[in-house]
Amino acid sequence: MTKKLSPWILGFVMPWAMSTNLIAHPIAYKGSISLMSMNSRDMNEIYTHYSFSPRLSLGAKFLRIEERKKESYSVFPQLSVLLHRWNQENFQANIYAYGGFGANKANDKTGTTVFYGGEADIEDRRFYLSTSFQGLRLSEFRDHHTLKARAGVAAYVAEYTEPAVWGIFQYEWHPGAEMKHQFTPIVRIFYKNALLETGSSIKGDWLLNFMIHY
Amino acid sequence: MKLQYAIATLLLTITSGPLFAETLSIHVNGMVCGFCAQGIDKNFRKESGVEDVKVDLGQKLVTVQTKTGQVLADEKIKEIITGAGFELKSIERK
Repeated sequence: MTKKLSPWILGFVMPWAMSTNLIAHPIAYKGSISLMSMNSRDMNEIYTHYSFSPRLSLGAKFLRIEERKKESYSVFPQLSVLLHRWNQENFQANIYAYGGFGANKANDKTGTTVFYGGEADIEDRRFYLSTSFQGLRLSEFRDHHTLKARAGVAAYVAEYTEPAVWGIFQYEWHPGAEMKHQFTPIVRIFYKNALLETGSSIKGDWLLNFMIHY
Repeated sequence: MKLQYAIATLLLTITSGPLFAETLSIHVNGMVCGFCAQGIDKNFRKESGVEDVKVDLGQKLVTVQTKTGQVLADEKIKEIITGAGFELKSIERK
């Protein structure tokens, strides 16, 4: 059935049906350990996980959020599940869900963090589309919800042994935040098992993400 | 004596596997990104019977060269490809 679907129709329908793990898949290959970090002016995230299979990973996440000169810190285990994957000759598409429960510290108080979300992506060697939704319920800080969508195009069609360079346009919606909408052009470079992303929003907010797996 | 030597050599050859190295052409679905295909390369290289691995994203092809006398079973190949998150389409042996 899926073989009859155009990959780009699938790509447009799937993302909007379901966005900050979005730099790469939350699950890598069986037996791998991944380390990723996402950083912006008001957020730092460090996440490491072990992939039991391409369908399941378990990791630990540290998250710092800064808002109106106040800080929130969260630490929690995260379980990620690949709900479905389309492996076709010229493209791959995925739907993931994930969640976690742990500790939150803010305003000199200690409480709980509940994290949940999902993401979907589709890519071939030249184009890439993804979207994710994430919710963060913090007992000692404002709850955070983020909807993110990305569209990317490769600067050139890289061979396996070459560094790959992508240009990505990212849109984020943060309901309840001061800056509800954010548009960020990003450059992504990956080579072998390392990936680096950097960009700056139209209003000058930077981001720096990296991921490595081994 | 020569006959006994020839038989012994023949038996040794039969029981110890092929005399030549194999080249496996493995066609893979979903292999569109070099970053994601690292698992295929890494896990084939972990196998003691593997001499070399080449990944060709354009042809969706993984070429594995085995060491002389070594065989890589279809089941093991499928396990590595699916374990990396891809779909095995076909295997050709030369």
